[in-house]
Amino acid sequence: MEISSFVRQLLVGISSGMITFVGAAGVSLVCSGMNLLNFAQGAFMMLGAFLAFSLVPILGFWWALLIAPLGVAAVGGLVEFLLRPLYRKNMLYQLILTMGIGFVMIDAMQLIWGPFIKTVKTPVLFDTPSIAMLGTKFPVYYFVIIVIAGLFAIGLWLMFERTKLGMTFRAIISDRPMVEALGINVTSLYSIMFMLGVWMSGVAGVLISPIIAIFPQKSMDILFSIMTVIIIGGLTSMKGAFFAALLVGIALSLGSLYLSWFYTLLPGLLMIAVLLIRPQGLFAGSDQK
Amino acid sequence: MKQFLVVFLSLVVVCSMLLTGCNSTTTTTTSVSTTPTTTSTPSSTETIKLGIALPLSGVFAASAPYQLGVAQMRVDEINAAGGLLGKKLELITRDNAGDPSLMPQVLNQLKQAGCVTIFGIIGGADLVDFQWATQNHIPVFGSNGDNTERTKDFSKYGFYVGPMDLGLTKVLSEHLIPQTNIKSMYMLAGDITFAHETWDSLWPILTKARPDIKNLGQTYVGVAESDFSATVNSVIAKNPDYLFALLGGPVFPTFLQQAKQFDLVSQMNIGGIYTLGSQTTVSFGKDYLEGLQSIDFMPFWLDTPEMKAFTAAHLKATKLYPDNLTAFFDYWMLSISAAIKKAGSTDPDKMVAALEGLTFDAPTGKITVDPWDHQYEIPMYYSTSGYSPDFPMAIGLNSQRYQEGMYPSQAEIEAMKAAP
Repeated sequence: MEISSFVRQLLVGISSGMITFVGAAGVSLVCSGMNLLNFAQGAFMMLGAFLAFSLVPILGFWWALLIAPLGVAAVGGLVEFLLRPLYRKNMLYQLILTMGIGFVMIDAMQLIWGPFIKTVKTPVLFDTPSIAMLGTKFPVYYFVIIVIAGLFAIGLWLMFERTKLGMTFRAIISDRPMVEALGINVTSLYSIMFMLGVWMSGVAGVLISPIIAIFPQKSMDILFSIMTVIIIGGLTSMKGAFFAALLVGIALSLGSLYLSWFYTLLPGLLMIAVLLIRPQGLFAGSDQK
Repeated sequence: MKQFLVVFLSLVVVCSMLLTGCNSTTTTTTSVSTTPTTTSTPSSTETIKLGIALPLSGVFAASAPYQLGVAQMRVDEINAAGGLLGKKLELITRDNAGDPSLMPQVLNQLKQAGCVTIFGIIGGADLVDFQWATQNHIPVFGSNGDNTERTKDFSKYGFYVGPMDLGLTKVLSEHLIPQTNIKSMYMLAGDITFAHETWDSLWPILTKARPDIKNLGQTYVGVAESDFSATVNSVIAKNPDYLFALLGGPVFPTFLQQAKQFDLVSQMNIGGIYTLGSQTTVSFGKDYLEGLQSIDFMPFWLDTPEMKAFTAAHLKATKLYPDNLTAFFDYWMLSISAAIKKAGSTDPDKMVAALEGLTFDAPTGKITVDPWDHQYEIPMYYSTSGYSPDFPMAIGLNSQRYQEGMYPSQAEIEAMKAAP
């Protein structure tokens, strides 16, 4: 197989992994800070895609990328109210509730936007949809995904390590009672944390909208992809989500080239292997849950 | 407090399931504004109930308006003309959520509702449906069955209104064999029996006529696959002259979105089935791929008086252009009403006898129901995707019609039955 095929497939895998990371990072953040596993994350991502479908024709793609995730975060803020009775309760209760919320969102999207499949036009950069590379053409948009998701990852790290909000989040993750004892309004911070988590899925939804067919039921498919990555990387590790998402994306991509008969099994096999060997996740610390 | 939480959670989950109809097969009225209500208004006297099991929710929900719309349109036409056997027709629908495992339950519900015949399309569920039909003595209609269902597991009460893989194979081979520029092929398909059988019957015919064609392989994906970027690139890496994309439902638009990114159509010939149905093309508007070779069954773009009248009526009733699935439901409605009239009864055995060998008029011409395997000999149209100023979405250009001689004869079916 030519080197160009390998490189193209690698780039496709990286871009696919980066989108999954943006969605999965939101789940990791909420899980680590709030001990809450959000099974509605896939639905929030599709909400971002649907909002992109509505906003792109009016405002263009880049404004939609800014505004649509804010809409998703607003819905997330409303949902967070429903979750408050379950804070510090068994994660199973939260899982059931967020799953139910996800199903309600799926049908709400179908009611609002109708059952028909939607598509979003790809934004064209530099007046060209593709660039020449290693004797073949590669879509510019996939590079856009990699760059934006990469900047997102850097921004997330900077927020956590260099800002007061990030410092407070880290404190909550480490020792919530101490943060409460210091008089900080943890409930409000939980709201911000949850909204930030679903905002991330909104960003992922807008990014993915030009390369998929948009329909509400795709939410479950996305949820499975995110959960696979979270389990492999570690439930509460955003760093783990990053590397796990890249691992799964590249495995799938290269697998489709060299193992076309059963490459779709690879994420599941990886997940099973991780659960057997290191159930806390490949990149989770030994003290992490 | 714990008790309160359990009760609260239970209430939320139950309410959410009631609202969404999650895994529910209760009666639903269509939630799409462009489709009429699922049931025509019954008269105070008894009605003839026709059952439809279709995906009102789930991954394939986008197809429901194209199925239900035409069925309701025909019911309204027949009722306006006085009904059948002095009774009005009534459609009863149940949601199968696109899940084959729900079909037995849905079929039972439709039977309990008094349906004299049922139409349900789900890939891979036909055998289950037709076994149920045999046990319950109710004519059931599906779209594509596999070949064992027509032979070893033949059901007297099962009928196929959709295309047959052997017929598709004949059309495909007729078009592919003369294309001497095609030296290699690759297939990308949903992982269903129909796709496997189509490839298994196509490949021997191709290699016999064209031993120079290479088989570069096949990839079978889940029926709800959502990421084709890697697959598209692996196809490009293999560099076939012809890609046969047998993908249905929302999968094909996803594949197309990603195929467009990588400019797949300029690198190879691409062919498929159902790719010019309006439920697929309408979402792309003027951005559909041009140059796709496609086999379709409802060529609403044809400039014939019958098709123009049908398309206009369908647009008026549903605000939608017809789709391939529209054709199947139309054939069902036209044939079952003709059969009931011919039989003078809704007795299942009399309806079956009336259907076998029946020839009826459809917008696509005359259609016959083969008595030896209950296959509707529906016309197939081979076209190339493109645009016309008369339509807001991509259509089929240079359409060629195939029907006569495309389906197995009685002798061929008997030979298949006798084969080990």
